[in-house]
Amino acid sequence: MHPSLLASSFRVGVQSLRLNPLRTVLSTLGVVIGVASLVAVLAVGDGAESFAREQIATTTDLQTLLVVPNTGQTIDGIRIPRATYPVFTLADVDSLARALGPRATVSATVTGGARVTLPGRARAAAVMAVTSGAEERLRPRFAAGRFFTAAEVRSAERVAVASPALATAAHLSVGDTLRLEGHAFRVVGILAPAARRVAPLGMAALVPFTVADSAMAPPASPRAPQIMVRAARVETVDTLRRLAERWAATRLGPGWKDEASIETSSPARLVQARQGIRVFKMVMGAFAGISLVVGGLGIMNVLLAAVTERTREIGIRKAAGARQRDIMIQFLAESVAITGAGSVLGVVLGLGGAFAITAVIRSASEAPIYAAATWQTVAVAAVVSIVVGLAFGTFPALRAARLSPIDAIRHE
Amino acid sequence: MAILEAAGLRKVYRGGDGSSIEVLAGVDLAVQRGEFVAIVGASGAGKSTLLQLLGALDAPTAGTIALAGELYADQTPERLAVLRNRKLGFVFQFHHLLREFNALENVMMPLLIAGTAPAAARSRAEELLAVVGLAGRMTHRPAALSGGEQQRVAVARALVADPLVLLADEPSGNLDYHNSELLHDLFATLARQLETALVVVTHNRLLAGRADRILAMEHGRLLAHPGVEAMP
Repeated sequence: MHPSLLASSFRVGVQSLRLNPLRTVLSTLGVVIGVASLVAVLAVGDGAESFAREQIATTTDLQTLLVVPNTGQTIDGIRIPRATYPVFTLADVDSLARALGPRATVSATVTGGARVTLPGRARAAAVMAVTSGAEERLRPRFAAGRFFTAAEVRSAERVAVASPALATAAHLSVGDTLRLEGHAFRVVGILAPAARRVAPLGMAALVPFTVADSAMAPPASPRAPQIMVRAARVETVDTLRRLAERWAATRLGPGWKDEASIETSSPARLVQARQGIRVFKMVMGAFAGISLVVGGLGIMNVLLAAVTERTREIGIRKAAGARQRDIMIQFLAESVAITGAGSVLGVVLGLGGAFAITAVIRSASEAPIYAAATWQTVAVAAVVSIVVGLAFGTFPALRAARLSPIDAIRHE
Repeated sequence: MAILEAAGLRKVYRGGDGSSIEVLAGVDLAVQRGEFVAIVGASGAGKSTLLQLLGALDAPTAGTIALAGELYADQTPERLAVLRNRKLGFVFQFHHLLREFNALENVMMPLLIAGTAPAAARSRAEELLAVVGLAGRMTHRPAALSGGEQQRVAVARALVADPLVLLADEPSGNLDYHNSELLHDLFATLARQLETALVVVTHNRLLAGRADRILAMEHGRLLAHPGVEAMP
């Protein structure tokens, strides 16, 4: 088709929209309502799902796997210490992280105690030496400063994050020096009193994993760091466990089960949580599906009615020489304009509605639930609107364009 | 050589109950370039059907039609559309203007369909609207025009692409005497000026009286008519 003819048919379509503002507005409104309802349901559903996941992640250990060296063994009910056991290093954390991929955060922890040098009297603090990945797991809140970085862990910087009790006792501010076991540590962060997920909460300090030896009193036997794996989603825990077992077999040999244990929450609780999530997703999926059908039918009806009532116009155009494809391009242009504008407005309105709905839920339930505006939601709404809009905006036109001009003109 | 030629045209309409009615029972017609032919006859005699077939708006049950030597039956739907656009003009009894478009846009429509640049289409449409005496009403929509004015816009639309043949189906059927005469003058003048052949279905003695030839439609066939004096 010659570009000027294409442009001409397209222009006729756009002109037709402009010249009948009421029909254009009503058709667009149909698309807006259809898209908005779909977007609102999806965004509220996504928000509710992330709230549920957040609850599981922050109030349970369901998403946690521990790789623990076996420092002893129990025989006849009596625990016998083992002479040797694996001592996990930063390299182990890195290699396990690589084996698990982006589905998990891997960190290592070793705990101990340290004498704290304070003027006047001797005090002690619990010391937790962790890798930087622990920040994701601990989610600390700071009164001042920050967590230490991966670079500081790697280069064994003597930096520390102090608990509120320690900061008060030692009159610490960010930038001050804290002396643990006689070694100077620069304070980079002070936790907020409400950082309740960090245990212990008394006199405590967090230091980089790589400076554990200088921050803690020497132990009787080699320290036994634990590796902690935090799954991004509860559904992946089983997979991560299998991958971690494979990693352990490579790292410790075929008899690795004597050397270390991989601990998770009880399988029954995991199954329960997964079931809950699955039911939730299916219910939200059903809502979204219903909304999809209702929204799609709304768009379909509006366009079907708008185009069918124009059969006579199509006949007049055909009598004046319009070809089937001229008619199709005209109605395609109209449908694209209507579904395009309707989709954009519908997405905005739907997201606005979803945020309003979640605001009401928040104020009524005090649950921190927020609508989630994801690109998937926008994509689903756009695809539905475009497919339904183009199909039902052009199909009746095609049907009318196939009639003889006189039959189309006579159409009531 | 005839510009428009029909031979053995038949048109049968079939009802939903299986019944059928033969509206055209073998029509032969030849119209010369620039000729003005009037077709008269009783209501329901098949005049409009014949005009629709000649205008390629519908297909005959049997028979052939050729415009400037091109047989309709040989054309694809695409080619037939181009033929309607470039070589035929059609004026309906009820004007059939697009109500959302103003007079100028209605007249421009066939040219825009043909891919004429909007500026050129506009100036040609303005020119024709001036010829039909509507220079001052170009931006008015059909609803704001009188019956006579609407029909004159329809005539301008039918002529805008310089067709070889203009087909008009009782164009003054809904107009008063004054408006009818205005329209008849317009037809006669334009046909002569543009050398467009004119086939008009009419009950109007005055319009038929201006034709070069009058044919009567009776029992599905076209017959020579004795003249306007014999019209009721």
